[in-house]
Amino acid sequence: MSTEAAEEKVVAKAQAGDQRAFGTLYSQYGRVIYSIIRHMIGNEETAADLAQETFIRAWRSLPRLQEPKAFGGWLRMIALNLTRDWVRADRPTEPLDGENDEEMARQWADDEAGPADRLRTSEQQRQVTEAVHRLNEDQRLVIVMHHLEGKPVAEIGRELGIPVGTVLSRLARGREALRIKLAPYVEE
Amino acid sequence: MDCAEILKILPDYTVGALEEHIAAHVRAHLAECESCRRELRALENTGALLGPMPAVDAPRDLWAAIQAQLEPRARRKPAWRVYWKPTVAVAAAAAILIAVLLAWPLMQAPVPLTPDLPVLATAEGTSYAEAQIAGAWDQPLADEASLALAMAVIEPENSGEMIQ
Ligand SMILES: [Zn+2]
Repeated sequence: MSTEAAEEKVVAKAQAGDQRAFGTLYSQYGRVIYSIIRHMIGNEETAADLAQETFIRAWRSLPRLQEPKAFGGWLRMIALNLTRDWVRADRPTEPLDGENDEEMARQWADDEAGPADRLRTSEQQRQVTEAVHRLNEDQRLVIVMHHLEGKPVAEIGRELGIPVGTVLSRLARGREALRIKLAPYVEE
Repeated sequence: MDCAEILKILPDYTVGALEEHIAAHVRAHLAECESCRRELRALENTGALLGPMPAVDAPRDLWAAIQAQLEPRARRKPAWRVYWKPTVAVAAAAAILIAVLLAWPLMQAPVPLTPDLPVLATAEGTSYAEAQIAGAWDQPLADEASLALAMAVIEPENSGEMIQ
């Protein structure tokens, strides 16, 4: 049996209420979901909370998932949307003022890159994440799977059940949109 | 092709989505045109900015925390269990007894066997999920085992070419 067919059966069992089958899906996807969120947020504790919320929401919505074979893409979209909402929620931007600045400066004193570089890098990372969040869902998903996870396009096509040509054209349109949004960082 | 036409398909060129004869036109133009080359570099820089991300293990207790919050969902039971209540049981037993007595003479004659239907040939109105569950009914561990095996085989060959 192919991986996809095996996974479809596990998804179907989880849809019917089998928590052990859902545990199998967690062991397959927990690491990648946590990694994506953590990469976009840069905070372990929040990443764990959001990863937890991702799987709890997935469990609740599973019976409504029409295509069991779309589970992986569907789960990633739950995680990406939760992450986007968290990033956009009105909250104080943490380390950019007051004592925190000094604290960070002290931590950075021994690093090769100086505080200014690190600040620029974290601001750049924030801008990249925000730009990715502004892509439409189709583009966002393939950009995350290809560039962040490092998956080859053929594998993405198999996992999402779409032709490689479609993966490539979504990557191209996504790249085009990101290039415009990230102009200050990518133009020479 | 002029610059405007090239710029329109340059993102597709960057990710390798163009057919070879069109890609050849783009290459020829790029060799001559500095401003389109600059745009190509911007698109390539965009790709470089995106990743890859480091893959990190989730906290060890994450699954336990998730599992503690999963509300039980009514699992679909086989029809006989739903209806198997004491009162129904007595009536059912009586009905079976009568049926056996009536059918006894018929059962002496040979009965043609019904061939097993393939699992995926689902009847109208049967959901795909139900068909999948029915398929795995007698082998509850078959799916997990084959999934784990398939993963083990597939994991190491993740190193496809990357688009930069
Ligand atoms: Zn040009």
